Amino acid sequence: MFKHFIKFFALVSILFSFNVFADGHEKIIKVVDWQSGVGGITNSYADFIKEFEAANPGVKVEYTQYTVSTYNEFLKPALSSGQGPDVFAVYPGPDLDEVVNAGHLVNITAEADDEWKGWLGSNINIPELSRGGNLYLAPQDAFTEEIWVYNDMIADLGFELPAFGDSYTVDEWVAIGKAAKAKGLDGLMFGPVESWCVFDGFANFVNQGNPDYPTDSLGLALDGAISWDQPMFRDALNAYKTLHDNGVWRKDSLSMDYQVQAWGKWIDREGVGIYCNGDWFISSAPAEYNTADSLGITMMSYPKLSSDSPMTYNKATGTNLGINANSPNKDLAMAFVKLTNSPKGSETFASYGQIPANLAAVDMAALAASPNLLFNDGIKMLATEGRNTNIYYSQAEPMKYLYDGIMEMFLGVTSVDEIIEKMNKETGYSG
Amino acid sequence: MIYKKFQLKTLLYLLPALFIFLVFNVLPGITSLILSFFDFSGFETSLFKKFVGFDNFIKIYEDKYFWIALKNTFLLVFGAVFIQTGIALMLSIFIFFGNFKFSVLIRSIIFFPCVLAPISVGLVWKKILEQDGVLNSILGLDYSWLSSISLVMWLIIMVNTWQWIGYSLVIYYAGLQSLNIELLEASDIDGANWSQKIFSIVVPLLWPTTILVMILNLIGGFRAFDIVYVLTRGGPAHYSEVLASYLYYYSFAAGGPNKMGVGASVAFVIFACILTIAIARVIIQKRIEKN
Repeated sequence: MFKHFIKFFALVSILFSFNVFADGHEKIIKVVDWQSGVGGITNSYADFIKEFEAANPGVKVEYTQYTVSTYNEFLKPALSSGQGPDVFAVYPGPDLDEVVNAGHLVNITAEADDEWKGWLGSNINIPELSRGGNLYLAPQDAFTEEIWVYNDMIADLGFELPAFGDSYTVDEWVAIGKAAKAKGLDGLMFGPVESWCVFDGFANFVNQGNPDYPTDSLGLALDGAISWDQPMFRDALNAYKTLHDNGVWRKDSLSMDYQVQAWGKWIDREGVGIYCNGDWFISSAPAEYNTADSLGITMMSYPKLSSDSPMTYNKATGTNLGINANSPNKDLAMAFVKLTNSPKGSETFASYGQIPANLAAVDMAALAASPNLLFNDGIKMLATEGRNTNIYYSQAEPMKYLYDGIMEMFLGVTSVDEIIEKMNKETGYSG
Repeated sequence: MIYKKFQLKTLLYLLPALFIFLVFNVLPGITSLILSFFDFSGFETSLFKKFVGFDNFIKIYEDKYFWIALKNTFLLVFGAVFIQTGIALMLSIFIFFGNFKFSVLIRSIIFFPCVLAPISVGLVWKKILEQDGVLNSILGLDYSWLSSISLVMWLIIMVNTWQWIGYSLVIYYAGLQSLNIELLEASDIDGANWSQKIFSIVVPLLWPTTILVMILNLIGGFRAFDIVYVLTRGGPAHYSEVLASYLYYYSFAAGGPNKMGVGASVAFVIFACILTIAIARVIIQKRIEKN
């Protein structure tokens, strides 16, 4: 019997040794992000990988995309077990704090060479991707987060499109919602199960009414430094309440995610507009509405609180890649990410309909004259002057209470006053 | 000497299973219990860096959504243990004593959902129950079933029951097939009617089977996650969270709190609930046997 046991043990050892021998011949760089479904990113990275492997014989790049919802299910066990990928995306905000504090990320400011820093330009100082004044995440693509509408549906409902850079007011959206409902459609498709869809819109509303702009009043409130009982916060909450109570989006939205359900239903033309959408989906927009000579989709910012409200945009970077500080192939990983930030990398992103984060590295005028009309509008929107809204905050607990409060307000379980009171309490505002 | 050799040999045979049990069941359980006393986001390589004592437990105690999740879990368990078991019992008796021509086909159809992945079941029922879904189309309504706080948990129980009732039915059917038919023949002679036969003879004789089915359904009810996650993601606004989905929200959810230590404390609560019920069952069983 003991002999059988020894034979079994020997067999298992031999099988394991094959795995060791197999890894000896080539280096593998593992790259992961959450951009599953974004064709422009997928295609861009296919080109990057091809170019990188050609320039580095014996090196293979394995690129895996997850969805936004499931990404942390993969990343957390991988990083905490010390088996993290060489290059990985990180959500800006609380996640970045945790990952930096755990020592997983290369300090790009300290370790990037001058050529890379030149390509990054002012992006090396993006606050939401930096901690302690050092950049930890290399931006890939940029976007304006906004609402997209089908032009023909708007016309069918008897409304006119606003001028480029302008947007409908909350009241106009209520009217659009009612008209859409009469035709069996939704005014807006909305996926609030993804909490950023709720929070980012709220941040935009607050920024519109922020009397102290460019001071980041929302950030101060989340820190408990100022009271939540102010018109800018009340107006933002009331805007959401008005939109929801008037059925601009279906009641069912409260159980819907954005990336699959809300976007999918908008693609199926069940709604006139898609809320909390962004330029990241330019490459996935319905082709028949983005032809060379006719653009059937209009992009506009979040609803204005009133016709007098200042134009306010949510502009940010999308995929942001970090380099694993404990990677055995750190230099190769850094070289790969540097490639994505190169001028050629920016052109690659642009060729697939992704607005590159390093716009300074490319000819903007040429970019905005591409055959992809929606992409051109995305570039124009990014360059449109207006208030800029910060959407990446690190105060996880207050953001959670705010999101829960807004969702309960939608359900009719809590009121604006109760949300204000709770936020003051949870942020520790002492008056 | 022979006794010692026997013990060593027995141990060697048990070693692989024991190793797997220790590594994949006991060790993670102990680690999770210890983790519930630490602040751990899930990203750090060192799990036990920041000791916080009972803070995680206090946090869930003070969180109203924990109590909602606890209530929903017990509701789901109630649905699984009583509603699912009861329906399976009645269905199995009906099919067994009905002597239907296509009894095998009927049982296969009822059992079929059990072989489907819960995620697939959840996706299909989501399509049926959504506001522009099949149910509203048939009924001519525009009701938001899955966003209704008062109905959403009952819908989840319904879907869960629909999926797993075949499993309970198959177990009951096996129990019915092992019944002593002479008892029923004797009751015929004594002039018992159908309801008397069913409720006075069959159901009591099926009591051991019922206990087994209830335990399996209870465990299944506590572990329910995929149905909830796919149908509602714990929404609307956490009102359909169960403990398992609440644990996931705290530990992994995108944009979530990033507090796996709190998730571990929720896991401990699940463990404590199941352990309490298991101990209670053993005590009750022993008392019944004693009587």
